[in-house]
Amino acid sequence: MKINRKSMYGYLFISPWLVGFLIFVLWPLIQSFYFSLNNMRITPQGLQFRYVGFNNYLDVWLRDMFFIQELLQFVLHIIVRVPVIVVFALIIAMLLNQKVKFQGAFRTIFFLPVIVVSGPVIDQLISQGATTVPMVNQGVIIGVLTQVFPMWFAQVIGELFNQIITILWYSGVQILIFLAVLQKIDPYLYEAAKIDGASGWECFWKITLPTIKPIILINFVYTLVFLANSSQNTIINLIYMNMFSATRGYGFASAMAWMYAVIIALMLLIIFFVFREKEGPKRARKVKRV
Amino acid sequence: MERKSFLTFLVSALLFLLLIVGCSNDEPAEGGNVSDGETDTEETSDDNGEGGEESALPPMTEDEITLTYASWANGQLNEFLADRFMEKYPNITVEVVHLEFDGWNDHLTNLASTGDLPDVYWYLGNVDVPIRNGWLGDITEYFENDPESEDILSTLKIQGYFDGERKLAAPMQLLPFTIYLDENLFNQMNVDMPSADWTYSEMLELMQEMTVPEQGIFGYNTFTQLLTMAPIVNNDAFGEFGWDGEKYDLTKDWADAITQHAQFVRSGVHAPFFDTDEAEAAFGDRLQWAASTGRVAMQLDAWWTIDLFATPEFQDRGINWVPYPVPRGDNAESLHKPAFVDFGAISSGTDHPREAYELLKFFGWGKDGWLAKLEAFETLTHEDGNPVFTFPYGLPLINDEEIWDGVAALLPQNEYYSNFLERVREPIPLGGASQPGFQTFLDEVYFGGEYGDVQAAIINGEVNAHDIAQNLTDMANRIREEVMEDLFW
Repeated sequence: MKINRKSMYGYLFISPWLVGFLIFVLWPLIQSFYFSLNNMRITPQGLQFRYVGFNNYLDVWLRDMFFIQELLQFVLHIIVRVPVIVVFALIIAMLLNQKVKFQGAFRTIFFLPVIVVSGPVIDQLISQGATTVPMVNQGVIIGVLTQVFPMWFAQVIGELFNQIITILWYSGVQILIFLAVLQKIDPYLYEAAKIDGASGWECFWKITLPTIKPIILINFVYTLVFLANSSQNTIINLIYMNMFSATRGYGFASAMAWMYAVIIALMLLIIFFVFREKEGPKRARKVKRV
Repeated sequence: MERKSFLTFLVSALLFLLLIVGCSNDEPAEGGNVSDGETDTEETSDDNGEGGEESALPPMTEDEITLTYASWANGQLNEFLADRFMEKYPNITVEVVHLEFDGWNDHLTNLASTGDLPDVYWYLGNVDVPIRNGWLGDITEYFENDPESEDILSTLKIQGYFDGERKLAAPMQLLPFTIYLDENLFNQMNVDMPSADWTYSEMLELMQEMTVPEQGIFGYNTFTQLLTMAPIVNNDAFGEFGWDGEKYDLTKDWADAITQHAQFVRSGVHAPFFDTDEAEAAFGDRLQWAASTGRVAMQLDAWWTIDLFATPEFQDRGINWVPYPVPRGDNAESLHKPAFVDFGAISSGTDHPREAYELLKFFGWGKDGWLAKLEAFETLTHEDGNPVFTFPYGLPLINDEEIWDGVAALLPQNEYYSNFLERVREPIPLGGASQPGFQTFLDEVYFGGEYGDVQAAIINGEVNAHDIAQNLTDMANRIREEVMEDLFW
């Protein structure tokens, strides 16, 4: 393919992003990998490196007593929270998709937390207890759950209830994505199904859910990545602490960040295999016939 | 050109550009990346070698130079002292670098990464950070040839030799542990106020004597801890956890003190902790500070609280907190007392180490600096006319009666203060800022290791202090050895 004026414009328009990506993503990635292979000092005369190979990676697993512990906690939280957020987002999106008065206002309200809940704001809200429901007694919940589940799992569920508002606040973007795809579903599909005697419940399972399945995958991915990068994430804080720690430093923190990235990538891979569109083209043809 | 190859070319060109930009830096040609373990502080000591053979301090430059200074001391005080320094040395301009206190060492790290570490700076809490990153300039030559060094309080003069040879940091601010006694409560209970020369065991007895459960009166409340004081005052130690200059030992006074404290907590000699059901039951408000209830005989605290206790909030409630020094050990030979000591250093990258040392001294222990500080304590005011200081924030670091008298003159004129000032002249710094590896031990063992929070575990009766003391001692000493090997590469 040859470069023509039109495609040049295209490259021109994406060049700010491309340059930004190269400078602020790719270059730091390369740097952090290099750091992870070294012990590093930030001296007034400049950076000093001592090559240690993959020792930092070994130390992350063998010497750091917090990483594995925090990682297990994180995985458990992800397993519980991601489905809660996505399911909540789907329910709200379906409600907002109904023809009701003040539809726009409701959509705005549900998206507002995305703007409000950013960085220091969410930290402040959490520290002031604004993200908890006072009526929900975490101790009682854990007490009940421990009768059924082991303590470690009961605690995860208990914390979920403790921070339920935060979790619901995190669903703004997912609602928007679901809303977009719900509006794309041809209303005639529902009309035809209703004529054939399908109930609303059946329409949801047979039409809505199969149609939006690829978007569920997107929302799962988005939610996982969002939670993985959240300022509330203890592993992120652990990496940050190690970065400025006297006995660990940037090299160790970089190795930890890379290991964390690998774990996240594996989780994304699992999500992808669970929710991927296995027979997409066939179903599309079937839908067309309907 | 095909689109794909053009894109490849574009990406390759940008990568190449980034590589060139990224690889360039402001390092001096001989600096480079050190791969053989050579430390930059060694280089700095070579830089300073111009007057190494002489016994006196090398002369200061007469060129026009600029030095940068960063500390978390009061901003107006810093500016005032900087002006006084510039008056003394008109060819030197001092620029005060303002950094937020939160994340202080992180800010220094960021400055170091851009080659902008201040020429003179304080580091916060954990000395491992500046050591590991090679920030500490060697001031051995200047310090040991400086007649003024002789005046420094004996227990502070020996601080800062982190590798055992080089003087890399110096104490800059002294805030002793202070035990406040509510004089009104003692009078109300018809208990005599103790002597200023009281002993550790007398203090423990008084705590119990002043505890009257039926009246809801408690013997003591803590900000500073018995377990920090005991090894230092009873065992003449030079640091926390029984540090004798070579080894830690938690098996004696530390274990006894925390066991005693745990027993006092359980038996109600210690006031209920903040924001607990016990506090609500005792004071009717779980968020009320025990020291402001008028029902606590002793508050184990620090020098800076003197300001707060002088406010109407306490006086209107009939509380009269008076300061006492930490008691001496029953069989102690010294007057070692724990203190919050902040440390400063010159940058290993400074172009003017001799002048930076003089600035460090002026802001820290130098007599001229202290005379200026006394003036600042007395005269500095806010824009609304209120004084910046209602008491001298920090005590002198030198044995100079003129300075100590100047400080005493700024305090209430009674025997409590005069007795206090006479008995805090052998301060022992806490571990973090003065002992390499100490913070690592705290993080990885003491507060986050096998026993979780060791203190909480002992107080809650989960473990016996004497059972784990030997293990903790071994780990503290092992971590120090490991960290010493790790830090100085």
